[in-house]
Amino acid sequence: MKTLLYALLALAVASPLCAQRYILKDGRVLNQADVSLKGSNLVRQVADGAEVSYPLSQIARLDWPEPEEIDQSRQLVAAGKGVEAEEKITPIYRQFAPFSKVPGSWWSEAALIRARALLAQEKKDETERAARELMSTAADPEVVAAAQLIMARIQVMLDKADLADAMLDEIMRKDASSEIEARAAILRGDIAYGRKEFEKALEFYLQVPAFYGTEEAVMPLALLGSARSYRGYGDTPRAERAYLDIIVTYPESAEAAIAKTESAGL
Amino acid sequence: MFGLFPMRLPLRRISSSLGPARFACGLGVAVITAAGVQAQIQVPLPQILGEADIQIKARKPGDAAALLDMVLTRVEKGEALPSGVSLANVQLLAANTYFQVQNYARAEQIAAALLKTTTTGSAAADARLVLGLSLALQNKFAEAVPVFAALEESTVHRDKALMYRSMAAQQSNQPLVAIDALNRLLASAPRDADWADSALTLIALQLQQSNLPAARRGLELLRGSLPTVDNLAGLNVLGLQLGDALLNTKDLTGALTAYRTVLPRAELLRLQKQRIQRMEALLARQKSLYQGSVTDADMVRRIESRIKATKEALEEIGKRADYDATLFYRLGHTFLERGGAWEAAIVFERLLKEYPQAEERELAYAELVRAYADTGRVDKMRIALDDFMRATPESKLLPQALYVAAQTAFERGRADLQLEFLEVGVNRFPEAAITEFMVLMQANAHFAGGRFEEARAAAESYTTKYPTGRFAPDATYLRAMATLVLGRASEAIKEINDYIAKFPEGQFVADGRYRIAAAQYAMQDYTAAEKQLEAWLADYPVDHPQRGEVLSTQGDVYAGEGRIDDAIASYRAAMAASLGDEQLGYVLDELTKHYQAKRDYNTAAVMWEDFARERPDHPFVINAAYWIGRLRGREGKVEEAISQMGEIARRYITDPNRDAVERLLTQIAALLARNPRPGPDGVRPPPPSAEQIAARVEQELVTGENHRQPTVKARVLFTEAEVASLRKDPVLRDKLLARIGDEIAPEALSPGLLGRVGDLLREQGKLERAKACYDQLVLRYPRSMYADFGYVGLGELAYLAGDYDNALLYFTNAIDRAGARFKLLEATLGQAKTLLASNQLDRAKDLFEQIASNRAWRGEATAQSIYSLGEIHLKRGGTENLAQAQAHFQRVFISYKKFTPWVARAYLKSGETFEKLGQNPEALATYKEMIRNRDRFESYPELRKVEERAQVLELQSVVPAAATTPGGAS
Repeated sequence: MKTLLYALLALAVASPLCAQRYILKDGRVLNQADVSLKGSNLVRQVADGAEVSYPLSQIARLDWPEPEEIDQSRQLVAAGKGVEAEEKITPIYRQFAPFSKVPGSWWSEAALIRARALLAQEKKDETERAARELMSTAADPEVVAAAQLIMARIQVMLDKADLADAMLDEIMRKDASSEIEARAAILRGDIAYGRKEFEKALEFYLQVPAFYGTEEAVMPLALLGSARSYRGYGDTPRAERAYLDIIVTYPESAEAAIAKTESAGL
Repeated sequence: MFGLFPMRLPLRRISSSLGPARFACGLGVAVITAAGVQAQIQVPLPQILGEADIQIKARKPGDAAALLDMVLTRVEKGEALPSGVSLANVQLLAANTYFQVQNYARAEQIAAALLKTTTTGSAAADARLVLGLSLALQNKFAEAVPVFAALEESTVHRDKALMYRSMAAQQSNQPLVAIDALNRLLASAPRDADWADSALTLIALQLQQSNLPAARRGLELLRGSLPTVDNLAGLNVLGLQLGDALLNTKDLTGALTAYRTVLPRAELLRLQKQRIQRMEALLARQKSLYQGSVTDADMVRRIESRIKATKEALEEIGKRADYDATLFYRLGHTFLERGGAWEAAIVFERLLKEYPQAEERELAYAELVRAYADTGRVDKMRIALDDFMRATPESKLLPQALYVAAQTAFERGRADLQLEFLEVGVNRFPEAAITEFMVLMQANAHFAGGRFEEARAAAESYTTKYPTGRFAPDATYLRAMATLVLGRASEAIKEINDYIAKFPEGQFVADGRYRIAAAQYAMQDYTAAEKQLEAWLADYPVDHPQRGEVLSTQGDVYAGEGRIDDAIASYRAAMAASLGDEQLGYVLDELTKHYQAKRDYNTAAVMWEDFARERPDHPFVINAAYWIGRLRGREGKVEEAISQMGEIARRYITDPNRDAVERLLTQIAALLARNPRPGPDGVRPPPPSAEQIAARVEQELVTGENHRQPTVKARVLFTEAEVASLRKDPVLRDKLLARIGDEIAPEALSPGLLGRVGDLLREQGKLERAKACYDQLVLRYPRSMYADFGYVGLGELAYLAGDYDNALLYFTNAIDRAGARFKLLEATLGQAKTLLASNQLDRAKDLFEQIASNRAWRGEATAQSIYSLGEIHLKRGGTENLAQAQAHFQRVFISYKKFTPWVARAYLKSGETFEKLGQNPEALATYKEMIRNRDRFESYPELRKVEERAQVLELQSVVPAAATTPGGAS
């Protein structure tokens, strides 16, 4: 009787949302704690030391909360701490690698953050490999587009701005999310800035605050680009204001430190 | 402009999908329909409870409810419950079961009965939850509020209690209670979809309460957790509403934050579909995990209602094709009002490109013109204005836009565009209110541009059309002034008198009366002029700002009448009154002239000596020094002149801040450099040696007190260098100047010396020391008249280092900050070559063309500019540009032969351009022409390259083409 009462009145049920589970194609559910990964199988220990294997190909989806390292490393990248971000995200990237194409897997996110962490360290070759891996593996077109953007960024770093421009045209030909569009605008701004076309650069950088106001992750980058372009254009007051905006609104970003240094020289 | 243009509110309908309306759905439970079962026989209570258990497990709560009711009735009649089973537990189970079958009245009754005997513990908390929800679902919201408030004591149910209390409070019209509950909930609850929903509700409530700062804070809080928001469509609606409200209160930053939270339509549809999929997946999962609890049921219902509300909002937004146009207009308008003209221009351009027929287009065009005006991009402003006129030629906003454009064109020195805009405005919109301003501006613009006939006509047009207009006095007077400047003195006098008669208290009356006298003087009507001036002097106070000018003209009149002494007296009186520099210079020159005519050299010299003593920093000290030297020279007193100037110089020689000293020293040097006059015997003594000059300079400038001062030492060397320069000894000059650079710290040098010495050090390749001089100049003396030396010098150094960003900044500062008094050409040329080096060809071209067309700058700068224009065409490539490049290079070696460095480069580039055009014989001829004149170019690297190319071309011309093709370098 008590069991019945408690079952009915357990209003605060332990949240199943926190579970880490593999959902198989036949509907069976395996708790992560009950299995281990051996080769291309999940293996569950049963009585008398016997094992039951489940091929990875039988996994329909993962029911897994977002690992906290994802957000932590994302913030590290935003703060320009590429080394720390890479260190933090690599175990997650490896953990989910066997399930890279399985829905619910966090591999794509981890791999993308890892690629950005490598990019932040200007490890061109490794970044390029990471981006190529994403482009060939990730199922989400968003992630693929993000990887293509990283590839375009590498071309800019290699002084191949024309090639980067062409890649951007290709990326933007498809429907892209706000984040991708904002990042593409920044990259186009960088290309124009590199060519000393400051007015054009401004028109790209300022698309981000103008049209992608919720894309906080890339906002400091866009503002820094705009501050530098204003400076190049000869509009010092607006350059000062843009620097100040970064320092005040995004004090923890890597761009804030740069803004402090550069604005002091105005 | 704030609030000038009303904005549409396109999304009112959607707003009803938010907040309180969700409540009814949110509190529902799964419908379970089962007929009640009535027990017909007296079965023992444990059995009945067991049967209820079976029914519940079988998900038949209706059957279970009837059985539990039976138990409660029998207990009420005195029957005992089995041991271990409390009445409270049975009541709670019954209430919960009735709740599930949606018999909320009975659930309420049982839960209330339970709470009469049990007020603490988990059973009481659970009962309160059932009671509160049952009351709410019977629309007894006011009664539910205190129940949920009591439930907040439960640590298990606190967050839900707060959420339900806020909902019930909203439904029972207790917004402040709802707000309080939501604030407490948001402060502590985990940031999930429920949290985001609550935040949205709170913002909506704060908006309803017109508590905009709180609503803004809520939105800012939510912006930090946007991924948790499922109802993005609702967020969009709130963002727009809040933005509008904040814009109305002129909280531009807040409004912008709100608008920037709103997603454009395509992105909203894309993201919202994703979120709906996420919600549907969650719903499916939640249903699969359903365990029959009130919470499970409620969660399912809340997700369902959230999906429904979101879909409705989304559907509504999906229907609005012009949704983005309204959003973009708000964004652009707010950016513009907040000083973000660049962002505003980007937004308006997109609006007009994507929604050319949107209702907002007129407003967008008008503000786009303003945005370009604010950023000073005159050419883009003009394009926007042209588009505006084409798109909506009758727009009532056009005159204002034209006026703004005209004002900006004026500020940017584009008088041509200013007049063009004004002409369109005045002619196309003659009845617009702002046309009155435009007509006056037109008259002023013509006057400032020296088009006095046109100025007169425009002013007359104003007075005809607006005889009592607010600028009628200005226009009337402007017309008279234009007539005067046109030389029609008697007509001007009449018009000025008309002005005075019509506006006797007008601000130009004093000036008008003076101008009448000036006109009479111009007509040589000295008697009338004299009378007019006397009356003026009698009528206006002694401290009137124009008094000096009037006295000066009085002097002119007397001089015209041949009354030189009276004229001198008037000029002297003018000097004692206030005079502008230009007028003061005129008066001093006139006095000097008259004293000389009277051969009264001494009085004239004394006048200048007094002036130089009284105003040592005045720009005319150089004139003073010149006249002292000349006048005393006339008197045969050169030595005295030098001594007097030396005496003036010594007073300030230790102070590097006094940069007028250098000008004085230059004049001393000019006298010292003169060859001595022949003696009485007619024999001219030999000119003094450099040592003698040095000794004399030291005698004039150095004293016992100042001889150790580095500044004095520098100035002595400078004076000697000036003498050497005047005596055509550049080697000695540079040696002396170099000693200043090498021996004296920049801190001891005056601005003038810093510039000169810095330039010399740079020429000598001593770049670090040159930089120290330039840095000292711009940092310590940024307002010095020589500051442009510093900026240009730093620009050249940055250019040399390939740092084109900073080079451009320095060259620009030389003009914008320092005024480029001495180095305008160098600064402009510096800007142009830096832009060229950094591939900004259009801007570079404009500047090179400006230099090449400036007669005053004709010379090497012209040669360099023409050469560089050729380079620009060469960089652009293509047949037409190559031909243009060729024309420029040829012009250099044909018309600017004496500028050998540019001629050498031009020959090489000309030949290369011919080669690019496939005209090898012409290329060869060009190379040979240079080689023929090799004596001139021996020291130039271009000659070597030209010889190489000539050799290659000659070889090609003798080898058959076919022989070079396979494996050849080509």
